[in-house]
Amino acid sequence: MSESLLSVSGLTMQFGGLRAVDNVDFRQETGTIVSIIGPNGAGKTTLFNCISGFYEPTEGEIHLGERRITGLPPNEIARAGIARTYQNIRLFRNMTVLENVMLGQERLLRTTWLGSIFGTRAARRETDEVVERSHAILTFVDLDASADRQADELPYGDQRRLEIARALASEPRLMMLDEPTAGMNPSETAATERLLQRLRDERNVSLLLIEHDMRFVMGISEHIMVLNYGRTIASGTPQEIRANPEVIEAYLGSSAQD
Amino acid sequence: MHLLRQRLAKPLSQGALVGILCIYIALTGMMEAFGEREIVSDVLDLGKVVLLGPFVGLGLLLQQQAPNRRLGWMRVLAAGLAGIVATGLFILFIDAVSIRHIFTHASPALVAYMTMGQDAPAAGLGLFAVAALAAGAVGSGLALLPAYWRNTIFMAVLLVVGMALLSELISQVLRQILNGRPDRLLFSQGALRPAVAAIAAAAVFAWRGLAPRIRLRVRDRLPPLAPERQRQVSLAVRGTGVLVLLVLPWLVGSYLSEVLANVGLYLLMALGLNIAVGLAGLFDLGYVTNFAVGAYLMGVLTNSGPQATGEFNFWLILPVSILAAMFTGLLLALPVIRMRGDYLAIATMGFGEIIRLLALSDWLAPLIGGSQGILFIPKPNIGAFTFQTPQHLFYIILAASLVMLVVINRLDLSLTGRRWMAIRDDETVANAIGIDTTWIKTLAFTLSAASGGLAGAIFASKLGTIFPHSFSLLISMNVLCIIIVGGMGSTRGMVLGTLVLIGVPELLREFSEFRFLLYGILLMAVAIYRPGGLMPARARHYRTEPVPPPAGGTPATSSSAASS
Repeated sequence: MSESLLSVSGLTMQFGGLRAVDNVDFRQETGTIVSIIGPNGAGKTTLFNCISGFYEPTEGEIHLGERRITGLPPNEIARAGIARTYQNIRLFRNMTVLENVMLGQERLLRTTWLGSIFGTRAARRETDEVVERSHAILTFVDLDASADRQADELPYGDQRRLEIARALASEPRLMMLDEPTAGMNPSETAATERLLQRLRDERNVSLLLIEHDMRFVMGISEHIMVLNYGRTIASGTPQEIRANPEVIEAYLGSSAQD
Repeated sequence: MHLLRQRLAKPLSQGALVGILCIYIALTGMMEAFGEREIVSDVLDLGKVVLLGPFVGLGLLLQQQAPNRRLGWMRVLAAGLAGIVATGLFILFIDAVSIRHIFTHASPALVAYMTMGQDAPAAGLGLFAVAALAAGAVGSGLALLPAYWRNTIFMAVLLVVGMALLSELISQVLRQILNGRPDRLLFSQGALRPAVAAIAAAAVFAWRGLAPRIRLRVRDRLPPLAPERQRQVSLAVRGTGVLVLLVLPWLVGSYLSEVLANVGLYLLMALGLNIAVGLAGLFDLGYVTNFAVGAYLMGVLTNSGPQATGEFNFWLILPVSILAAMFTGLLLALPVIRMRGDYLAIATMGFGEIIRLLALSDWLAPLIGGSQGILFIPKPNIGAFTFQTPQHLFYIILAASLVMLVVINRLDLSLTGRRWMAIRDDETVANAIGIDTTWIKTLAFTLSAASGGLAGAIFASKLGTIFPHSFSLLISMNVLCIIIVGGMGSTRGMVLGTLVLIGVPELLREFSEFRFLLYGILLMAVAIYRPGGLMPARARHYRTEPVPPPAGGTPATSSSAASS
């Protein structure tokens, strides 16, 4: 058995009588872009929330590399190397753009509260390093000019990119993006596609996406998984998914058959 | 006619509202109490300001919002009449019917005051009506002036009223600096002399006219300062500030030093609570707990009265009190750390009450005195020197405040400070980027408690006696008010908030009875007009200078975080 980056097996999340995620299995290899698609309420975000530790799954196992991360608290999972963004953008709104990216580096930091109070040289040096790295990351996503602006002052598209920058700041092994192109026009979507490809090619980040824009998904993904009513109904390359009758039936609708 | 009614309905109701405001101010007793405080001798007193001030404001507002001048004047007239009718009916009513068993302030003296001291109510009412209409007209006139002149007039009025209200402080300082009674030139019985008021107002006009020109000249002549020089200048400014603080108690005398000491104690608490509330967003309504723990520890371990336990030295117990408060903070944080928002506020409020009841209880009475409190707590001393007077004690509080200011400033800009603010903005996401939110919140409670314990310990030693009733919910509320009015998360805001909410009411004795009414008004005004507080927290900016290579022995002087 080859070493996968992320492996999910038998994952089930039960809310009362509802099985939001029902016995889902999948693997993601290092350096790939994988997308999860499916109609509204299919359980995609619930699956994300299980992986990032917001929910403790009812059943099943999640491994990051060798490490079992099932049921760990969110901060431990972040420290293990998973970063994420949110469907409805969740920035630290009253802080500056730079501070948001500084905070993204939390898993790399060593400064303790004592260092902060006494202003030790190690603490000051680390602050300087964090600030420099943050500027570099903001330059990478082309937001450095806005570094000192308050996060909620940014236009919508920039806020999405800032969220990606904050996730990137932790130098994650896996980045989970929940609808990165939601609410974007075609040219913004194209720019996002290029950004995500650069993330993978230049920063060696593996990406797991939830996405609704079919053209975008088909263009960027190496592997696609389709959820419906919490269950995996198909899994494969974009070509395979496009040809799968069950997917067309459940999700794409009859017009896609043309 | 219909159109007219439609257009005047709003001004009429607003005028009636102003009338009701006047009635409210009168019934609380503010008007009479303020009436005894003269602003400009024989011309204006504070009571008239609160009686007629609302009419000025109304005139200003209505005229500003009116589409044209004619309609503006009509609205002001309508609103003014409505206000006068409301207030007039009230005056006639309390003149005819005694309601003093409900509203003790509704006395003949109030009627006499509101009718401008006239014997015949009709003449008095007429006088009041004329004054109110004149006030409304003045407000409208102000609205029609260009903004520059309006602001200048506001400044002049503010200066005159401010000087009169702070007459005691100004007189005291003048007497310390100059011989004789120089204050008599400015004030007579606490009120500005009319000529002085006129000169002060004229000075504002002159300054407004000249300042821009002077500034231009000076700026043109002076070359821009090099960064090195700028640092020296800022150091010099800070040094001067500390020097002024050092001589302050001797300039302002014993009573005002006492006021300053109280301001300092509240500043310590505000700085501490600001960590929890302002930075980490944890609404702690039981901050008095830490104050009480610090005070009782100091009291029990140093007193020489019936509760004497060791009679240790102040300086030995000071750090112990801080640690004890931190430990209490940690202990109380554990059960409530998973609560958010309102639930947390209620739970911490409970702790504040528990500590007060524990202090009152017979169970702990043998140790901490119960309702009898702790007596004979010695003043701090160094060798043979005892910090006896308010002036002496001021220095201890000043030192404590400066240390706390440095610590808080560091935390505010540090990576730890960033973690707190992240939790304040979005706790779930903070957790998901790797912050151990439970620990970081516990840390906020613990560090925030330290400053409260410090304030409590000094408080106990300063007063010499402590009683359970000194540790009521009110203290928590006062500190929280300082934070909200000053500006959450803003260290400068804490200093200003403490001066405004604790210092000013002590200086203006007429106000002290109505302190909480003023707090309420201030809180509402801040919530509506300046939601970030009087001095909102500024965005933290980080600049890095290239780190020089570590050459032999010279320390790497990379300036780290600096707020601009």
